[in-house]
Formats: sequence, C-alpha cells, structure tokens
Amino acid sequence: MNTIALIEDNADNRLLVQAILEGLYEIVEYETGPEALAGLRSNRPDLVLLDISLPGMDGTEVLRRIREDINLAQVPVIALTAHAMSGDRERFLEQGFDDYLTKPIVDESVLLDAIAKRLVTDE
Amino acid sequence: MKWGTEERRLLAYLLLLLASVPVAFLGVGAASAPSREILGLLGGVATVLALVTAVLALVRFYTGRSAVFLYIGTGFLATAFLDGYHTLVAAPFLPTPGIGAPEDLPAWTWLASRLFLSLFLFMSWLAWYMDHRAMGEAEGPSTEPKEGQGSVYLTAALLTALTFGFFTLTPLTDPYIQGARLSRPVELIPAALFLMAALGYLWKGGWRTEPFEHWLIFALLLGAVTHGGVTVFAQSTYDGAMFTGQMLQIAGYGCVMVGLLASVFTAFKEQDRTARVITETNDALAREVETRRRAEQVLQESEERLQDFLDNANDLIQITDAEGRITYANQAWRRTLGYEKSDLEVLQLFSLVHPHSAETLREVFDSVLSGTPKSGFQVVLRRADGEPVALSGSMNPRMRNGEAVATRTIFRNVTEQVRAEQELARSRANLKALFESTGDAIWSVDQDHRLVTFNSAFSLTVEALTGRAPRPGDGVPEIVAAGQVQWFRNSYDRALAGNRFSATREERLDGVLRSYELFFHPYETVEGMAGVVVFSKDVTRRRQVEIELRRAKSEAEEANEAKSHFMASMSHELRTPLNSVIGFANILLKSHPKPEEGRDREREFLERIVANGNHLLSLINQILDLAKIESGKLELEVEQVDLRELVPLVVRQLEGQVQERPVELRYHWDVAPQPITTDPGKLRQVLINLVGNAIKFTEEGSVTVEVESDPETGTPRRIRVQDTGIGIAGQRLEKIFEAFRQADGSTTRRFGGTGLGLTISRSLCHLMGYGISVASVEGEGSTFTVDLEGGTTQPRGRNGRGVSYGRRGHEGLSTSAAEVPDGSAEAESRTVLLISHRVEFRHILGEYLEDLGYVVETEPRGDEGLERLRQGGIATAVVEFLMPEMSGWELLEHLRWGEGGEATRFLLTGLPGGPAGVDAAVQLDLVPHDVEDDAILRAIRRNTGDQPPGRLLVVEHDQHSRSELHRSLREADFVVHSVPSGPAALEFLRRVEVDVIVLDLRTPSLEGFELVDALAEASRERGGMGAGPIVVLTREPTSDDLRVRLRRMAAGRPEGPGIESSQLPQSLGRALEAGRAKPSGYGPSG
Repeated sequence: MNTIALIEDNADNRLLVQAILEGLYEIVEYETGPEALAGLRSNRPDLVLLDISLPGMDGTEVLRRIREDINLAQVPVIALTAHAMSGDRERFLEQGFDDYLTKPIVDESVLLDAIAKRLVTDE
Repeated sequence: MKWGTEERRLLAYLLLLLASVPVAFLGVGAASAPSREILGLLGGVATVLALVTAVLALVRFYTGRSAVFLYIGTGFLATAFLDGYHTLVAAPFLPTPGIGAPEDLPAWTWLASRLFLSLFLFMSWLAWYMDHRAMGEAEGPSTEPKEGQGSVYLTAALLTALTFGFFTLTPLTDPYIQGARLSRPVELIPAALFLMAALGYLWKGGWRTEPFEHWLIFALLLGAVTHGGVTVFAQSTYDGAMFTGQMLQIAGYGCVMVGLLASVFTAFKEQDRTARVITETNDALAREVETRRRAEQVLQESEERLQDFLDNANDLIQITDAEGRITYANQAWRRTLGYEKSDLEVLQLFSLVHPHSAETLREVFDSVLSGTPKSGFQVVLRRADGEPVALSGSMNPRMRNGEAVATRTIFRNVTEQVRAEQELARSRANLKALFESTGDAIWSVDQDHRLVTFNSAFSLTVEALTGRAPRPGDGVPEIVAAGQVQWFRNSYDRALAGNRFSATREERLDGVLRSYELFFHPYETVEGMAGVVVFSKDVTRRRQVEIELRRAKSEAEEANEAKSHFMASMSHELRTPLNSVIGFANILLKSHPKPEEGRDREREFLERIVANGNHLLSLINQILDLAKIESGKLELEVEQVDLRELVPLVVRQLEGQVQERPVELRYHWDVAPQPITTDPGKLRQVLINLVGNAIKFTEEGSVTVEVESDPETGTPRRIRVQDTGIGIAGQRLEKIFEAFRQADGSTTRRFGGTGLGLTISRSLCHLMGYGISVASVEGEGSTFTVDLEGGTTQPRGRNGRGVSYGRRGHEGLSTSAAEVPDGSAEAESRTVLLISHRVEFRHILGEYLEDLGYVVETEPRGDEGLERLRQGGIATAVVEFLMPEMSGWELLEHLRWGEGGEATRFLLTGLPGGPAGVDAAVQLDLVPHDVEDDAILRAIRRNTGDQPPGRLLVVEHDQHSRSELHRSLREADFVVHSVPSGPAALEFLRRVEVDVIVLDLRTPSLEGFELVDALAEASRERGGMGAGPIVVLTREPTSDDLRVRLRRMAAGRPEGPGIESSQLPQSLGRALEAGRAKPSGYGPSG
C-alpha cells in the first residue's frame, strides 16, 4: 500500500481526505510545513497532497524545499487548495506541482484519479 | 607813293582843265571855221548822242530809280530836241523849219540847248542834294525820286516848248557883242551852271567810286570849259570858237554816255557778281539745309532712342512745368499710375499725391524749383483707381536763364518693398508680442553660450535668481545660479550638436521650489549652426497636479490590489468550509445507498446538503467571475472564430441536460455565417449560459440556436437562443440581466442556478462590444439575442453603446440601440459620455440620465473614450479613474495636451480618498464613486446648467404621515428622505446634504424648535451663512407669536395646517429658490 503524506492545517479537511482515501492508501498527516518537512525526510511518502494556505510556511515554500531535498525531489506533489481563482491553476503548475486540485472536493473521483495517475506514472 | 583811283581821277580832272587852255586858245585863235556842212553834221551827231544819252539815262533811271538819272535823262532828252532844232537851224542842207531863220538863230538855239542841259545837270545834283539834306546823314543816293516823274517831264516839256516858242515868236537880238573880248557873255550862264554842277558832284564824292559820276564830272568840266573858255569868245556862229565849242559839246556828251555805259557795265558786272554770290549763297544754303536735315534726322533718331529708352525704363520718369503740370510721363509712369497718354495733359502732380505725402512732395518740389536737386525722397501717389503707390525718387530742375522752368523726376516703385517692410514690421511686432506675452522665459545664446536675445519673462527670472538683470553678451555664469553653470553648458553643447530636447529643472525662486521644463532648440543660419533657443516653461503647478494624480493613482491601484486580494481571500475562505460540507456529505451519502424502495430521509437530507453546497460553490465562482470582469482584469483573447463550429460545440456540450425531457435542442442558419473575429472562450461561455438557461426553463418543446447573417456577405449579425419555456413577465423583463434578479425568487429554488448567469453573459457581451437583449411572452417562451454588430470586429463609434436590456421595447421586445438625437447644439449640451469599464456603472447611470432627458453615450475603454471625445460634441464626460489599458488619469493626461475635449466638462469618478486637492488643467470635477449616491448626477446637472431636483428631508414622527408625505413629495419630483425624529435628522444631515427640511414641529424626542436651533448652530459651525429654508408643518393654526418666533429663529415659514395642503410643493419650490440663492444648505460638505 502506497503512502500518501497529507499536509493540511485544517482538521476538518484532514478528516475528509482521510475518509475518502481510507483503505486505499496509507495516510500520514502533517499540520505545518516544518513539521511535514521533518517527517517527510524520515519517512519518504509515495505522494504528497499539499495545501497552499498553511500558517507560517506556505505550501509553495514547502514544495520548494521538497524539490531541493535530493531524497524527496522525485516525490509527486499535488496541490489541494481553495485557491481557485482563474489563473491559479497555471500559476501552481508552473511552480512545480505535479497536479492541482481545488477545494471543495465536489467529486471525490477527481482526487482518486489524480492520485492514481501520479502513482502509476511513477512506478 | 602809290596812286589810287581817287588821285588818278583828280589828276585827270586837273589835266583836263590844263589841257583846255591850249584847246581854247587854239579854238578861239583859229581864223576860219569849218564849213557849215561839217557843223551841221556835228549838230546831228550831238543830237543823236544826246538822245542816246537821254535814253541811257532814263533806262538807268528806270532800272536804278535814282532821281539823278531822271534829271539827266529828261535834260538830255530835251537837249536832244533842242540840238535837233539847232542842227536844223544851222545845217545848210536841211530846210529851215518853221520860221525863216535869221543868221543869229543858231547862236541862240545853241545857247538854249546848252543852258537847258546845264540847268538840268545842276538840278540833278540839286535834286540829290535836297534829297541828301532831307535824308540827313543817310548814306548813298536816294532810290526814290522826291517828286513825281511827271513833274520833271512836264517841266522839261514846258521849258522846251517855251524855248521853241520863244525862238519862233520873239525877234532875236544879236547874240554877239561885236568887238568885245567877251563877245558872248551870255555863255557864262551855262558855264557857271556846269561848273557849279561839277563842283557839286565833286563835293558829293560819288566820283571816287562810281564811273558814271566820274565821267559826269569830266562832262561838266568840259561844259564849263566850253562855255567859259571857248564859246564866250565866239565872234560868230561859224567861227573857230563855236566849232571848238561844238566839238567839246560832243566830247561832253560822249563823256556822259561813256559814264552811263560804264555805269551800266558796272551795274551789269555788279549784277553778275551778285548773281554769282546768290548762286553761291543758294548752294551754301542748300548745303546748310541738307546738313540740317541730316542733323534733324540724327536728332530724331536720337530722340526716338531716348523716347524708347524712357518708355521702356522700369522707373517712372516724369517732367513737369514749374506749376507741377505733367508735361511728360513715360510708359512705366503711366502704367504704374494707371493713366493713358491722353490723360497727361490735364494731370497735375499735386492732385496725384496721397494726402500723407503732400507736404513732403511740396517741400521737395519747392526745393527743386529753387535750384537744389533732391534725391532719395519717398512719396505716395494715388493711382487712377485710388490705390496708393509708394515711390522713391530723385528730382532736379531744368534751368533757363537762371530760373527753373521745369522739373525732371525719376521715381522707383517701392510699393512692394514698403508693403514688405510693413509686413515685416507687423510680423516683427507680432512675434515680439508673442515673445513677450507668453509667461514662459525665452532666450537664445550664440555658439559661445553668450546671451543673444531674451524676453522680459527671462529677464525677471534671471533677476530673481542672480539679483542682476541680464544683458546681451552675458555668459552662462552671469545668468544662472552658480551650481548650474556646468549643466547649462552641457545642454547648450548638446543642442549645438544639433539635438532638440527638453529637460526639467528645479529652481528655488523666492524661497519656493519651482519646476521648469526647458526646451532646447538649435538654430541654424546659412553659415551653419548659429546658436540655441531655449524655452523655459514653469510647470510647477502641473508637476504638483501630476504628483497628486500619481499619488491618487497609486492609492487607487493599491486599493484595487487590496480588493483583488480580498476577493482571492474570500474565495479561499469560503471554499474551505464548503470543502468539509460537500465532502463529508458525499462520504455520508456513500454509506446511505439509494434504497430499493421507500425513502431514506437521511439520504435526502444529505443530497440537499450536497446540492446546496454545490449551488453555493457556483455562486462563489460566478461572483468572482463577475468581479473579475467588472474590475477590468479580464482581457479579450481575440481570434478568428467560425460559428459553424462553435454553435454545434455548445449544443453538443449541453445535450446531456435535456436527455430526460421532451425538449429538442437544435441549431440552424439560413445563410452560412462567415468567421468573425472575437474571443471564442467568452462567446462560448455566453452561449452556454443562454442555452443552459433556456434548457433550464423549458419543460417541453424546443431550444433553438439560430445564427442570422447578412444574406450577401455572410457576416454574422446576431445569434438568437429561442425557447418554448415558461417565458418572463413583462415587468420582470427589465430586471432579468441584473444580478440576483431571476424572474422570480422562487425560480432559483425551482430551477436552480445562481441568478448570475445572465449578468455574467451581459458583462461578457459588453466586454466584446456586443449587445444582448431579451424578448419574451409569459407562458410561451423567451428569445435572447446577442447582437454581434458593432462588436470586437468593428471599431466602436459614437453609437457604440449598442446595449439595451429590453425594458424599452413594446411587449418586451428589444431595441438594440438608443436613439441619439442629431448633433444640434441643444443635444450637444445635453450629451453625456460615460467612460467606464464597469458595466453596471455605465448601465445604471446611463439609464438614469436618459430618463432625465440626457443623451447618453458610453465607452467601455479609456482609449475609445478619448477617440470619442476628440470627435467633439460632448458636454460632460464622466470618467472612471481606474480602468484597464488606459486609465481615466491617462485619458485626462492626453486631453491636457490639447488632443480634444476642450469643450467638455469632466467628472472624474472612482478616486479613493475623495476629491480633495486634485485639480487638473482640464475642466474637472471629482465625484465620489458610488452610483447609489446621486453626487454624479448632481455634478452633471451642475455642469450642464440644469437645476438638480430639490432634495428634501422630512422630519415627521408619525409613520403614516411620514410615508404619505414622502410619497406625495416624491411624486412632485423631489428627492425625498424621511426620518422619524430630530436626532435622526441631525445624524442624517451629517451624511447627506439637503436643500430644504420639512419639519413637523412636534417630534417626540427633540422638539421642533430645538431642532431648528440645532440646525442653525450646525450651519454656523460649518461657517455657513445660517440655516437654509425650513418648512414647518403644524397641525394647529399658527399663532402670531409662534410665527414671530419661527421667523426670528430661521428663514423657514410655517405651513399649515396639515399635510393635505396642496400648496406644499409650490411652497417647497419657493423655499428651494431661496435656498439656492444662499451659498450653503444643510449637510456635511458645506
């Protein structure tokens, strides 16, 4: 079973993603960027779901650090964010996210497909 | 010594006298006389000689007409007769005539003849002498006989006749005194006469030159000798003395004849000589005439050449007499002054002169007449047609006998030159005025940076800077502040290298920092680069305005940024909780599978949660979309779009939505549409919205997308989306495009949707320049039309608003373009241009203004608005401050540099922080952003000279009365606000300005009088002139003291009793007039 790291400060959202992915993947949750970076280095996941609006260090910064880390650089990172203004998608993909999903998650299959696609590609 | 003619002649006379002595002796001494025959013969000879001599003398007389000859001639004639008679008497071979002659008769006839001759010869001298005496000292013989010739002849004839008679009738005595020595003393009488005549002629002196008189003197001397020396001694008729006497007589006749012949010869010789002289003279004359003729010809040719020269001279040449009459004027003169040759006779120089020059010309003329030539003077003459001709001339006199008799003048026409000089002077004055009147400093420097020219503005500036007025020739350090010398040197050098440029400088002048914009222009002459002209413009104020506007712009941009940030944050923050709502509901739904039968109420609830969550999400999305469009952040991505592909794509995309209903979704076109230039994504979004909307409201029937194109060119004109749905009620039609205005509040619940789809569609259409309209019949269906004409494919002109919302059409049918009245002045003065990218702003304000009778044009973009303004005819323009592409600020910047809009008043709206302190060069008002506030409207009315509707505040505690009053006043076209109490009124007045307060005196918490006091106090605090009008309503009849109290407190007047008074509106109208006359009303911004 693949491990997915979920970096999300909102507990409700963590619970929701957990509920959706339960049984399919092993979920490791982190609340903040620094916490997540530390955890990721010791426990390399197969994929990262990353919120952007994180307190302190925001998602783009976390991504930058992941990409800087030799061990983590190849891990697929999917932005899961409520930043859904037009133009946001392009902006995030440009910054190096492998995919971009908006909250609210209206259709969970979208999330599942995106995860499956990234994991298959990487293996 | 040499003997002249005179001496020789005198000697001859002496010799004759000497010779006569021996002749006399011989003659007297001769004893015997020749025969009588010989004597007779001699007598005949003498007669003939006398006759010939007489004829010659008379001929001489008639040719010479000298009286001498007349006497001589007549004398000889008579003598001839007497000699003839004597001969007849004496000759023996002729019969004695008449009486029988005694022996003595010949002696008497001889004497008679001689006496007669001597008498006439003497008379001839006497005649000359008398004549001579009468003539005085006059030289020469008289050519006219003194007496008539007849009298001479008559005398001669009478004497002859008397003599004949005497001899015939008188008995003759013995003619000799016998025995006496002087036997014939009577002979002494003719001798004396001859001698006297000889002496007379000698004295006369003619002998000296004339041969006749010379010979005459011979004859006279001979006569004197004959009688005094010979015949006086005769003893008898036939003795030797008589014979000698007769011989001498003949010799005497011969002398006279010789003299006459000599005289005739001389006369002929003289005549011949004279003739020769005459011939010579004639020849000389002929030669002279020829010479003169030639000379004249030469002169004439010369004159012709001169004339030709004068006539063809470009200068004006004239000759006048001393009175100024024109006696000659050459062709150039006549041509220039417009006169014919025939006019010249009557022309007077002083009648031609222009009054301005009359004095000058008179002075010049007088000076010339006094002998002093004048040159280089200028006069103005008038042409025949009155036009002035300026002439420069030189004039000199023609002198005769030291007096000027004429003037000669050469003029040069300098009219053009004078005109050019005047023009130049005018131009110079004009330039000078320009140069001086501009407030800008202007100066020029030469190649060495030395000051050449400058205007007074420059002079003042330099004086203010350096304390010293500039002078031409000043160097750079003398005219600029110490720290700027190098800068100016560099700038001059740069300009001298041929560059034109401008630069900005700041100077501290009188303690104030001022900004100057300097324009450097190199200038060249034919010799090359000559120097630099510099214009310096004081742009301090402009800079301040620019700084203000920049600050305002940056503030507005910050505000806009903040707004965008806010929108993004809001989006994010709204989505986050929705994520949980929708997400968990979905998860729970999985644990509530759809029951085979019956109802699972929990599942239904969860479904509602998911549906509403989704609805909320689309609301959020569309609001954000709308906000984005309105903020101008959405840009068009234009390309060629084929509607034959786009329309089917939309239809296919939405087909899924009708599958469960008996609705036919189709599209069609009569004419195949040509591709258009547009933004495909946005057009598609509009069509999806319209078609989706149509599907949503159509339970059964059809939804048709129709593309209408120009039948000839195939250019698409409009796209219609027609449905057979529920339709829209007429009164709701006009609201259909407004946000959250779906036909019915219930429709959202019934049909779903956010109610923003049409609003977004309209905004997108406007962004692309399309009109959108709706027509509908309730219960039968609706037709939405996108009007493609005047869209992105075409530039938008003044009728480019192309926007309507169906509310004006009959039965809800749309009219796609508002009527713009023709460009009459009135229409122009009421034409308002709204330039804003915000659709709502354009739409709402536009509608409002049109309802008020304004002609409204709209432009969604700054650059297009500028284009429209340049076309003119806009009285007022309301300009959005912040717009994408060209902001209102940039637009005004363009206009400020004179690119149109001169006649337009500008209202700049959308400025953050209010209008404080900003003032641009254009006529500009700054108005708040908020459409709901009628500040813009009031500003427009102010600018177009319209009176804004009166704004009233009703203070009335009774709710029923208040609403009644509110309604009736609104119907009377007032803008009405109403509050229930005094404190509320005060609070309201802190925010809104009103013109008149309608006050119920008895409000519960604050008595009416107290309110009046408070208002007056508030007004005074604002520095106003006192309270505006207050109309007081009372329900009781007002008492006198109440009226007095009210008047004293305020300018209001009680109106009563009661609100039913139909006079209230008129009363308010009067109050408004009064209020406007005052500088301030009530309100926050006095």
